[in-house]
Parts: sequence; C-alpha cells; structure tokens
Amino acid sequence: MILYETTFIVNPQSDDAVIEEKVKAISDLILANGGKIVHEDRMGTRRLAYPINKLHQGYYATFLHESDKSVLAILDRHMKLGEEYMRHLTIRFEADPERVYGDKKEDYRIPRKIMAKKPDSQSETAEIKIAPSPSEAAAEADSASETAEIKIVPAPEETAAEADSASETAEIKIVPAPEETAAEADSQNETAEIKIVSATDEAEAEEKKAADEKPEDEEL
Amino acid sequence: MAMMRRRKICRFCENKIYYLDYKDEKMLRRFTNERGKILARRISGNCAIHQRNLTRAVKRARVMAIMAFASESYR
Repeated sequence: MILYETTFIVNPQSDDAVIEEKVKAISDLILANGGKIVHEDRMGTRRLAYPINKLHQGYYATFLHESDKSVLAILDRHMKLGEEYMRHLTIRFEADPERVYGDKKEDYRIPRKIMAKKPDSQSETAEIKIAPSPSEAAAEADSASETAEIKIVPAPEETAAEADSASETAEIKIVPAPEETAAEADSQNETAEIKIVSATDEAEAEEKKAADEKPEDEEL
Repeated sequence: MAMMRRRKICRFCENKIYYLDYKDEKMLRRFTNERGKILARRISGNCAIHQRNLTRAVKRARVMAIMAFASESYR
C-alpha cells in the first residue's frame, strides 16, 4: 500500500449533481479496491491555464489515498473512458500530508530574518554583558569598595595636568577594573580576610598597568 | 558594500520545505517568468534538489492546466 495523490478535472458545465457523482465515482473506486482515502481536497471550479476541449474552466478535485498499485490502472481506465473527466494525474505522494494539506502547511514566503537578527543578538549580549558587571561589582562592593575608592583618586592625580581627555579615559577605566577585582575575588572567596588585602594590592598593580596603558591609548 | 553581491539562498532550504506541491500555483509563479518558463537556478537561487523538485512540479502543473505551457500574452 502506497500513498498516492490523484487529481482530476471534471467538466464544470455539467450540473453540480453530475460533478458530485463523478467525484464520488472515483472515491468509490478507490474504496472498492481496498484503498483508503487519507484526504480529500476540492479546489473547485477554476480557470484553466489553457483551453481543454474548448473549455476554459474546470472543476478540480484531489484524493490522497493509500492504495495498491493495481488501483491506479482501474482509475486511469475509468477516467479515460468517462467523457466528463477532462484531465487526470496520479502521483506517488512522498511528503507528509499534514505539511501539504494540514494546519502545518508549509510556506516558503517566511521573511528572511537571518540578516536582521544578527545585530540584535549581538547588541543584546553586549547589553547583558555590561549590565551585570556593575551589579556584581556592587554586590561585592563591600570588599571591593575600598579598592574602588582608591582607584578613582590616583588616576586624576596622575593625569591632572593632561586635563579633559585623560579624565575621560580615566572614568572609562574605572568600570573594567572592578570587574577584574570582582572576578579575582570570586576565586578567593574562601579566604575572606586575605582577600581584601590582596585585592587592593592587585588593584593597585592594575591601576599602574592602566596608567601605563593610558598614554598609548591617547596616542592612538 | 555595494560591490559584494549577497549569495542567494535557496528559499526552500531556508524554510525547510522539501515537497513542492504542483497545485500551488502562487508558489510556482514566483519561479517562472511571464511566459511561463522556469527560471534558471542562477536567477532563482534554488539549490539543485529544490530546482529539480520545482521543475517537476511545474511540469505536472502544466499537464493539469494549472500553469501554461506558453503564455499567449507575448508581444
């Protein structure tokens, strides 16, 4: 038993009852020969892309059925002989019926979001990165507050003569410094008392490094 | 950059569609020109698999008078 899709066109000029009868004849043939109808789809009367037998419209009906291959010959013969059938086509259906007829119908017209998404995600992650670092620093500020206060003081002193541009860089550098001390503080959680001392030492060392780096930044 | 031509992505691959229904005239029309000719891969950007499926679908649609073999409105 294989899944087939049989579509056929019935002459639309005949009465509705006749059309219905012709459509039903096909489903009856399928059922009578041990087939099982999975889905029935009526496209109804629609315009043909080109005239068939001098007719410009046709009534389309489709049966998705699970049948033995012997049924196909019977259907073919029936529709060739029946004058009301204008065209018919049976194909082996190799897709998930749900995706063609069901609610999960596939749509190729989904807008392209790949290009639009990338900058958003980057900015989001960037924002996330920025956001927690001060909060973490604030949470562990008890231990790091001393170092933070000290940091602010020496930087202007060193760059006091160099005025505005230097102070801006100094202000910017206050932000990453607590992050580093906080990260190091995390690793040194167990020895709380020692932490303060070492953190300050390290912070001072980092300040010196930062101070060394400042002139380079300005040159650039 | 204006010089860099963006590589076309197969629409069907993008939306993970593997079966192209020959009765979906709207879809098929997007991949044929006004005369009803199937667009080349280099124009439509389809991958080989989907271009083959599309071609099959268009040809089936022509048999069933859903698509035209050749458009009359040619000047």
